[in-house]
Amino acid sequence: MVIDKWLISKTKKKMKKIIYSLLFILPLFWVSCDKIEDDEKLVYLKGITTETTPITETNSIQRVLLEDYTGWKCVNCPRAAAKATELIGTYGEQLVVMAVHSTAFASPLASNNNVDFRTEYGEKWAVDFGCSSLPAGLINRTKVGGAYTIGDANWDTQIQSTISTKEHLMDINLGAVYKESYNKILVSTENVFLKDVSYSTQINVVVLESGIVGVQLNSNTDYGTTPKIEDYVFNHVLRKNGLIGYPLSDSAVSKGTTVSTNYLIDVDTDIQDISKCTVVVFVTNSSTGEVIQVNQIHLSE
Amino acid sequence: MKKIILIISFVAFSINSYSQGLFGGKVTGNFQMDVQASREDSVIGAEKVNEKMLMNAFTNILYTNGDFSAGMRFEAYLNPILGFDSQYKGAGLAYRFASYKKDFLEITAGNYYEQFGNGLIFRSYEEKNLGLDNAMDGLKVIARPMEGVAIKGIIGKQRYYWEDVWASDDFGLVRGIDGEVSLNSVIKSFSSSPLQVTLGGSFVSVYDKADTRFIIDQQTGNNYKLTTPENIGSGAARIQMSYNAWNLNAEYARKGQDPNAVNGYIFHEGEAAYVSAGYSAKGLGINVAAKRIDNMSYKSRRSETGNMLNINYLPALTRQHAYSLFAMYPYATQVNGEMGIQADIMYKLKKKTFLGGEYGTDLKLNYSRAMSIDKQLVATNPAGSYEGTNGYTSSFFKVGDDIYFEEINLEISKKISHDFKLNFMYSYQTFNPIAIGHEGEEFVYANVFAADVTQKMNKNSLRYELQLLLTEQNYGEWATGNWIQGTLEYNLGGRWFAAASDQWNYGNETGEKTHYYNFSIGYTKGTNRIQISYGKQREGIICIGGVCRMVPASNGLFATITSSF
Repeated sequence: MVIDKWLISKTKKKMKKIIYSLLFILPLFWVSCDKIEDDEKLVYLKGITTETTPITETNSIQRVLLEDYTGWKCVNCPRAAAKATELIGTYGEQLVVMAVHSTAFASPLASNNNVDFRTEYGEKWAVDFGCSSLPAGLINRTKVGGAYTIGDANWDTQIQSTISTKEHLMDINLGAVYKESYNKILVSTENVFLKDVSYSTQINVVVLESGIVGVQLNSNTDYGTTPKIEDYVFNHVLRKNGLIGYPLSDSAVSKGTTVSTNYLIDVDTDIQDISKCTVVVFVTNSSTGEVIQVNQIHLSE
Repeated sequence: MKKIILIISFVAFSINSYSQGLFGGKVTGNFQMDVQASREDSVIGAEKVNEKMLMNAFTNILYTNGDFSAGMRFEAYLNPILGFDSQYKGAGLAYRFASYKKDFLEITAGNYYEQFGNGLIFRSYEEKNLGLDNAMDGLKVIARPMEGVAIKGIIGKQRYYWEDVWASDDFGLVRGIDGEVSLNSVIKSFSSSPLQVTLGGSFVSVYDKADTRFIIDQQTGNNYKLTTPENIGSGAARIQMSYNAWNLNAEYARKGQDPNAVNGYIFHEGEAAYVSAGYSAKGLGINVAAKRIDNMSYKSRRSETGNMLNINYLPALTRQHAYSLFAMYPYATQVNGEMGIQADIMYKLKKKTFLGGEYGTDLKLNYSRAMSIDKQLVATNPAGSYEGTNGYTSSFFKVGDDIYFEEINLEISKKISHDFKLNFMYSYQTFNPIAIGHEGEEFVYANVFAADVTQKMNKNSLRYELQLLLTEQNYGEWATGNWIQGTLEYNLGGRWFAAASDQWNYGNETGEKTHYYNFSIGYTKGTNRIQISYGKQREGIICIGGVCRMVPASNGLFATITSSF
């Protein structure tokens, strides 16, 4: 009897603990809602301009965007970068490579001279597309086997598959110039829809820099010294101040439509040599995020 | 196909095992099939049905064994009958779950329906007549740690036709917790009090991945991007009280910023209040209810505008009518803003009195009114619209200028003799077409009458029904002018029945004075029932609990089979 009472009292105490614990959890649900401040509700999209520069890079083929998610601490990333370079040799102008330095693999330390190639949008894309273990590649931001990321060993096969199956919906013609007087890059685009497109599209204008020398960890002697390459050359590095997810076309565009847009991009102060920069423009399906066309142009002064 | 074979095997096995008792448990189930064959009829606007025959069907199978239960529902829309969304086309396992109770916990995995309080911030339910099913798919835990205390936790995604909601980020993840405490159970000194008090509170949050929307100022060419919150939270508190014949049910809910397609992508926070008070004694029942809804469309996908993916339910405060002409101008809940009241009085005139007569008389008086809420618009965005702004401010107690719906109706039910029973009903309705999205159309004012006599003839019965709708207004193509409806229904021993009815739009001054005749015959044995009808169905709107769907016109056969075991 005494034991029974003791057990009942113990159980009640336990129950009370459970109730209090649950009551403690309740406010967590309330705070788990986002509050957008007034000045963030409608964000002005800077960089759209009426200023133009002549179109010099025209496009008439379906191109493929390979995003190489990488970081200086990623010991297998030199292998992936070498693969990307090899694929450029194979596919030529049909392939556009963009190196997105992201995740903890790209965070700066004194041992890499605090060089930080990360960008705000690169970090977001890494999360959105599940690029947590590097190297990881995205090909036209298309899911393959339920995931966006593709290992560098399969890049070639997937690029081939994309080139042979991707419907050629549009072309992007480009002009770009560095405006030294106000330290901005002026980009003009002509987006020619070759077929009816039933969904809205967005345009992304980014700057890549090549030929940057720095520190890279490495585990394979085929690609340089191990465990570290002191004078590694970083190419196609995605830089800051890109214009991401800007509106290009409404819900439906008919065949033959040309949408011309012009942008002014603030030059990223980390850029070391503007002459080694290219402007990459890619258009995505607003709903799926899939890349439907990409083009690049080397920057002229 | 493999799935179908598996399901058929399961059903067959379950039925076969029923008589033996499956592992000592019990198998129950039900079935319904609706078949429609409609032909083109330009007079009533019935469109050609390419398939010639359409069918909706479902079967529920439930296995229970002590504290364990598991079940499934197989649904088939081959192809969906008229008025149901074509996205239902197909067949498959739409609902499956397993649940068990152990000590103070009850765990459910798979699909489930649930409601927090009055449903202001969370209600998962299905309404087959509306083609509405927002069943959750995920996990539910109910803890009853002590008598009078219940805590519910839910997580999952909602059904969207046949879509694999887990394969896409397009469908939001719903999380919620609800707690309810009966003070009479928890406080010992309060346990025998005639005053019964139950307190409750709930929180719900939906994770809906941000999507991209732009606003373009056409004059300057400037572009703006809308920032959408990804976690949209809501909370509610409620109280239920009863004291002898009196009862009170009140709930207040708030919803955080939720710019969505229904509210025009504004950031105004949502709010809902509901209060219902009643008195019930022998021969008298009184209930008065009021509500205020302000921007409370709450869906697990911000771009959704239809009946699917609703997280919450906003109770309707109007009478649900069974007579078809009374339901011609239905009430639809205004999720973006509405204030409503309803009063019900039920009184029974005693037997053997002057007014009550030999058998007594039942009187039901109902009044309801739905109005807009006060809205003071804020400054527009640079493009001249309200998208991306707070939209408006609203004073809680201030009623808006627009009336959406108003009705007063009286129903008298009287048994005249041993063999005759009379039901009479009258309603005066004011209907604003804007309430179902038709802005700028004239109000409809309608007087509606119904007289319904049931005559018993030994084991058989005969029912005569006459309805009349009088209005000077014409609303759309399906509700023009005056209507009259007559119905004759013969019931043979509770097994067979035959009915004939005609709904005649005799007051239509702009089009055909169409007769919508209908003949039906049915047979019931035990829990099985078969009914076949032939006739014309007018285009209209069906609303249940303030949620509505369009019913297109049809002309042809309609058959229904229902069964349960």
